[in-house]
This record gives sequence, C-alpha cells and structure tokens, in this order.
Amino acid sequence: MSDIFRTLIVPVTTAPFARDIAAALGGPGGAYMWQTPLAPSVDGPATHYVSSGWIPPAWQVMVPTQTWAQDADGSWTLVESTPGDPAAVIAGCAAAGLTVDPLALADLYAVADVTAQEPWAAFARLGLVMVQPEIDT
Amino acid sequence: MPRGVVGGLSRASVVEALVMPPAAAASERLQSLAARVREDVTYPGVADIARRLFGAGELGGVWDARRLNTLWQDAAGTIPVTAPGDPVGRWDSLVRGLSVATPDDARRPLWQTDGTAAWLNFDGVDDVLWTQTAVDFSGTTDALFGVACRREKLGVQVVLFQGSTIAGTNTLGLFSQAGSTPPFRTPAIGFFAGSPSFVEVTPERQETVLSLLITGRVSRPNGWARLQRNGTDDTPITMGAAQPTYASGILSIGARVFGTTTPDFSGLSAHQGRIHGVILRMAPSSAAEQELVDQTLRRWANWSQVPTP
Repeated sequence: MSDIFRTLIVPVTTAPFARDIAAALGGPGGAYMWQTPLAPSVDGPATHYVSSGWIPPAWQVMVPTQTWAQDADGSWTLVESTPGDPAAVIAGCAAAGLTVDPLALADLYAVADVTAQEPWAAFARLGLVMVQPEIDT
Repeated sequence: MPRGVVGGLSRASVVEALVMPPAAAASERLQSLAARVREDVTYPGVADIARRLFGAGELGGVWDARRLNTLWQDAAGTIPVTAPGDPVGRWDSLVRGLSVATPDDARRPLWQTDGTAAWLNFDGVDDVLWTQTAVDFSGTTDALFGVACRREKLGVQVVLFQGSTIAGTNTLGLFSQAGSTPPFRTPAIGFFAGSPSFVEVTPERQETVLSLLITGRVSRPNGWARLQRNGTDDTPITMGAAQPTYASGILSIGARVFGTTTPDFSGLSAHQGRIHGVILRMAPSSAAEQELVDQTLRRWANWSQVPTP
C-alpha cells in the first residue's frame, strides 16, 4: 500500500507520550515526530506540536482521524471521524517493549487532531501558527 | 503544494487532480529529465565538479535532485524514487559518499520534476534531511557552498546547516531568509560569535515566493566572506578577528538540525519550497570555483537567465 498524507497535531503535554508510541511502533524515526512547535502567536510559548507528511498506511487504522468541512462563512464542521485502534496500538507497543496505559492512550486520542488537511489549513482551523525561533544575533 | 484543502477531500485526490500529471505525462517528464541529465557530460558536468572541486580529497558533498539514482523513499536506501510526488527519505551525494536522510517518514520532502529541472519540495513545517552520523569538518577553516532553491513563505528558513547551537562559534549556516520581520535578510550565512556575528546579502527582499541561487565562500583565517545572490556580488564581508575552524556534527538540508551526534529539532526553521541542488566544499576556494558552483546550479535548476521572483 502507498503511504498516506496526514497532519498530526498533539498538545505539548501529550507529545512525549505520543513520541514514545511512535518510536515503539514505527522505529527510531518515530521519536523525531512532533517537534515543530505551534502556538496562538509566533512568539509562543508552544501549546502544540505538529508532524505532517507521508506516513505508512498502517497509521491510518491505528490513530483516530477527523474530516472537517468549511462552511461559506469560514466555520469548520466535523463531518466524519474514525476512532483508531487503541488495542492494536497497545499490542504493538507491548511487542516492542513499551507498556501503554489504556487510559492515557484514550486521553491522547481525545485531544489528537489528525486529518488529511494541509498543515497550514489545519493550523488555521485550530487558530495556531508555527512558533518562529529568532536567529537575529 | 495546494493550500487550503478542507476536510472531506483527501490530499491524495487533490494531489492527483492538481499536481500529479497523468501517468503518460509523468513518464514523458521522466524521460525528458533523464535525457537532460545524460547531456550533462559536458561542462559543467558532475565529473567536472568532482575533478575540479573534490579532486584533491576535499570534504563536502554534491546533491543534484535531477539524479534519480541518488534518491530513495526510505532512509535505508532500499526503495528508489521513481515518479513525481514520491517522498524522499534519503538523498545521496554524488561525491564523498555523504548522504542525508530521515528515518521519520513524516519529514520526507517530495520529489518533483517539470521535465527539465527537478527539485525536492520541502513543506516548511517539519521536512528535513540530515546526516545520520556526525560529519567531521573540524580540520577545515574555509567553505564554498551553493544552493538553488525557491522560497515560498516568509520567515526564518534554513537550507543548509551544521552546528550544535544557533550561536555556536563553529556554525555553518545558509539561509533562504534570515529574518522574520522587515527588513528581511535574504539570503544570509551565519558565522555567529564573530564580528559581524551574522552576514547577509541584499536585505529587504520581501517577496513570499523568491527563486534564489545563493553561492558563498568563507575564509575564517582571513576573516572574509564573499556572497552572491542570483549572480550578483555582495559587498565583500570582513569578519574581523580570525575565526575558529568548523566542527564535527550533524549536517542538515532543508532545515536546521542541531547536534553533534543526536539530532535536536528545537531550532528547525524549515525551508518551504524547492531545493534543486546543494554543493558544499570545505576548502579554500577561488572566485572561479565559486563561479563553477553558480553555473552548475543554474543548469540544474534550468535557469538560463538570472531567476527573478
């Protein structure tokens, strides 16, 4: 199967947990996910982290996903969602040596924003922008 | 890449409709590109680059997005890039065996071609390729570098980087834009902790979409740098006191990855847009060699004239 495109956004507080799961399920690259900080303003502080790109299709069934539609007035409506497969995630992590608390995973699923939207569209929907590190010296 | 895609439309369907050509057209583009690469046996071909810039064992790398035999969908280099839209998980240098890669699939840029030029399209969010082990430039004091790219957003964006921190004294940095507020500084290279600590070319370029052919030479012992943007010389830069050598660390393309052995993404500043090619040579270099880099990148990007925004 071909890779799928997803924009995955998680709150800062859940990012380490999400990285641990991704590393267990997807190998060492998973630990590098959710490193780009987002916030209501470019000055931060970060409230969320984003990963966006083409990922293995197995993610499609394991993580919850949402589909949003934008009305003429610009407001967003959730038109479809999938629950993900927490049992598969817990089993996969266990096989990799990571014990996952089902309640913690449920909490992560509840706050994770996972869509096929371009990242900039997802940021706008959530009222977030990328935190811009300054390099002026 | 299209923006503003709303829920209900999968990205794949949008890409297929708006970006990806029909299979026959894609095949035609690939054949056209391959023919163009085959023509590249004359000046300034890669053999010429290898001989003139790296013939004496100079460190560095040459990355040409037109060459499919250097592009892989996975970091391990087992799945070749074969078609427009394929994600790039590893990009091999044509010299010195230096590869940049990402084991994080979501960070892969996408390969694209129009039949004459080719490029990696970075998303400006998290896409970046980096050497998976440290590259040791600690014995070098001079650098010659160039990149052909197209910036597609405003804000700090890094196209080539090696350094342990933003302001590390050994930092090698090349920016497609170096300021997040006007007056923007485009492009720029970083010396950091020197005098001046930061060097720029042509400030106040505020176009969101900007094609850039950036080349530069840096000589730390002699305290100077020479930068060009789109073939135009900048005022020679005096760095003041002699600078230290470059360092050993992770080298990244498309964004800034800190670190000597473990990647640190805290200062990513990802480039959004195209990167056609990158040339990096860690050795004292002449104006003629900088011109060779300019002409080579110009050919790779199919810019017969100076690119304009």
